[in-house]
Amino acid sequence: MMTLSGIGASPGRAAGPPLIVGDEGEGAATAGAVLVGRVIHPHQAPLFLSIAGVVTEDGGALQHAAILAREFGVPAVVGVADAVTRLATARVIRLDGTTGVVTFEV
Amino acid sequence: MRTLRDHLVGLPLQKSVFARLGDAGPQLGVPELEVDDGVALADDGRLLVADGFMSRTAAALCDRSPESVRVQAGSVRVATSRLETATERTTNGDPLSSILAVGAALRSFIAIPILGKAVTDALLARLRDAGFEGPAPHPRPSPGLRLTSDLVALGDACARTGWSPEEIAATWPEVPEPVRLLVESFAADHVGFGPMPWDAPGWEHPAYVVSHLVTIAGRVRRLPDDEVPPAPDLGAGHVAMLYDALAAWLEATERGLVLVRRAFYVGIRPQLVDAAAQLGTRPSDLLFVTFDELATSLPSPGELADRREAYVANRSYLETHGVDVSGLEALVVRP
Repeated sequence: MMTLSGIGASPGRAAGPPLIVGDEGEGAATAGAVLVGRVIHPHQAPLFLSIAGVVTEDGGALQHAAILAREFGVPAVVGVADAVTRLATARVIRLDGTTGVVTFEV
Repeated sequence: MRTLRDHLVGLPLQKSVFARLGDAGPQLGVPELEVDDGVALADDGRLLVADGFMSRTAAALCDRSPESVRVQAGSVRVATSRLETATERTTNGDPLSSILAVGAALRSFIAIPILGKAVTDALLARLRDAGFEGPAPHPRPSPGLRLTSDLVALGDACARTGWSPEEIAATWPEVPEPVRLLVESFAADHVGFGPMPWDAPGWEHPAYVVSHLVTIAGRVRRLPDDEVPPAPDLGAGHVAMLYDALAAWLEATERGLVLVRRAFYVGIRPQLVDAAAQLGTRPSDLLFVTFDELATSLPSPGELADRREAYVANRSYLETHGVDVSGLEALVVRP
């Protein structure tokens, strides 16, 4: 079990496999996945219909991902350095959107 | 260190939107703010801009006199409104001047959503320091939530016609007219939602909408309610000024990507065909010139060919953003 830390941007706990999205890409829909990206944009919002949680590299409680996560009631941790690289091969990601702690197994 | 423009956008016309970032400081009433194209738009693989640059920028913009911050918020609103107005204005009969008007508005606006990533956090921190504990005044519903809610409603409307998303996708565009009109209307209503590169597929394309109807089919419909909290009564003091400034920056930052993309599809694209005829060139050639060149003189045909060749050869950019170069000609037709 490995641990990363960031900023808790939307409260709650979640767990699921990673769904990696590019800066501009949509990604494939995976219900119950944890969305992981450098940054999330408004046009990717429909992904929030089914994801379990969000982890982004870009930090800030007012970035798009944080705002969307709070609107959809999805736990989110932002400002996690190298999240895309480090979580790409994770089997399960667990995140706490209150404390900003992300743990994962590979 | 790569230049972000080369990674983020590929068409020279769009790249030239970023050409006057240095004007951002004076525009926002902070003349000492240095927003340099080479520094501000650098990409070290993780960050859009260097941490140091962003913290300096946020300090320069936020730690000013209350009057200065108020004026700055006004400048943000003016630049946003100017871009919206230029985008929606129909041609004045001179397609080239219409394109240049949208280009000028884009150039005045573009620094705001870039700087907004840091400024909004800094303004919120100062609001918290001043004792404000309420929620930040970002647009509600957010643009992303509005898109999602409308997409779910579109799926429901299509279902009422007896057509499933999979059936629509399998036969598109040969679907019954009511279904086609539903999808095309959705696409028209959501022009601007999409990636930063104008040449990458986005929600203005009906086929793109159809593909996402399939994607959301059967998903958990976890749509939040539309309840918007009332604006707090903050009086007219320092906290109220910070709150209003944050609202202005959040509005521009949250909607920035949509406004920039919409400016092309609504404000520029319809004029390109006529402007090309006026200038005696192929419509798609105008994607490979800069706004400054549009205002003065076009590059030689050889130079345009070189630029097009370099664009087509940039496989990394094209693959990253899902750009189909065979779609360039279709990008510059009247919708």
